[in-house]
Amino acid sequence: MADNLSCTVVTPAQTIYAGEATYVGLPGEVGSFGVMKGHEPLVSTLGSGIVKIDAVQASESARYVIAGGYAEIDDNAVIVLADKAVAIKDINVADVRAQAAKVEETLKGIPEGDADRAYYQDQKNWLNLQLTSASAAE
Amino acid sequence: MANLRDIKKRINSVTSTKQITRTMEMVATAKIRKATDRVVAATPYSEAMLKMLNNLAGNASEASHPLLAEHAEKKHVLFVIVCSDRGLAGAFNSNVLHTAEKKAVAYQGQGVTVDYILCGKKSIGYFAYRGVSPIMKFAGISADPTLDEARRIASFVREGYAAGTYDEVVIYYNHARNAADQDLRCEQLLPVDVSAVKSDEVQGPAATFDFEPNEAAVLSKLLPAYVETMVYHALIDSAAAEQGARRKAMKSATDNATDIINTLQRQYNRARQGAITTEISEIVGGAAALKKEE
Repeated sequence: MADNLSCTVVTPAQTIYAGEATYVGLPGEVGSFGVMKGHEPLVSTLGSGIVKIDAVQASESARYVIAGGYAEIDDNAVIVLADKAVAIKDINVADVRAQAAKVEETLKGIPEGDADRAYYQDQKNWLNLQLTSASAAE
Repeated sequence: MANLRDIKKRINSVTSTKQITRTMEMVATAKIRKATDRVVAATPYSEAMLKMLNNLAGNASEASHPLLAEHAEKKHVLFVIVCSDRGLAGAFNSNVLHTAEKKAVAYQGQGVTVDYILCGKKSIGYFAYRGVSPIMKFAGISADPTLDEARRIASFVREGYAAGTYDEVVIYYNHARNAADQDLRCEQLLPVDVSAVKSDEVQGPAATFDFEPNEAAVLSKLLPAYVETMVYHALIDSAAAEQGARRKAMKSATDNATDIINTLQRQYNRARQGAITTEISEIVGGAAALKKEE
């Protein structure tokens, strides 16, 4: 257990990963970086991308798509606060595609400059991000 | 004395009411679990965020971010009021509504304009009756609030505050202290109160952190998210409190119905006994009269 760090991934609604890891790859806003045991205490903002967790048990290793968030590394513990997150293996491409089409449709119906537009644009970006990440993983 | 049939009718009516309130009580009990689970699931995020903000707050001065800066004059205040969609939960909604309205009247007395964002049909109805039209309203989400609503509310208030449209944003909601008790909470969303964030327990390591890309950038991302978290927390907390309040209200309604049924049953028995006694004395009287004639 000597070379491990504890890793937690939480979204506002729930904790989606908690466990021991040997390596955590994070999509920092200014560039991706990896964290191993003994990392400096750090608070970083995260962009959209993939969080890669190499767990101690290889079967528990996982990759998550996240859209923005923060990471705090302190005392060999990594806490990832993700605004939105989903495990790559849980992405249902057909489902996401259908949702994206629906959002696109709604977006067309909203006039330029409406406050709701930003919200749906955000949704669209998130769904597209899931699609590209899922296809990259295949 | 009320006649037998009337009393019987009332007993039947109260009994069926009791059945309904009992069912509602049980449904609310089942829902409390789900609602509190959601609050518990959301806690790690808000705690981690508080801790992070706390690490930053040591270095945050008022001027460092528009969401921290207090506006010099308070002229336009925004109330976010979180209620339920359905009633029958005791004083759950009226507590929030009365407190908020009282505060609003006090503000208006000082020449401050008050706007509202309303969550829950009960609050929308209450203010519509008083001729107040809210800036934003959300109906049908009180039992199942999602992050989306929280994001919409948060982004609206953030923009309003940063643009100077609003000078203060306050949120009113019920906090579920436990499964049975609720507290009314009134929290200041904006400007973000850094002194409330700075907790005593997590002080010390602030200086040792590196910030990526830099402190100001992290702060300016973290603060909006913090507002969002506060709103979301208020929504789910209120949802849990609603079920608790409903269970309590329905329990006392069921108990009352039981009492009323007991009283009515006693009246019914007395009336029946009275009728029988009258009948017997009539028969005895009639028999005596017949005997005399013989």
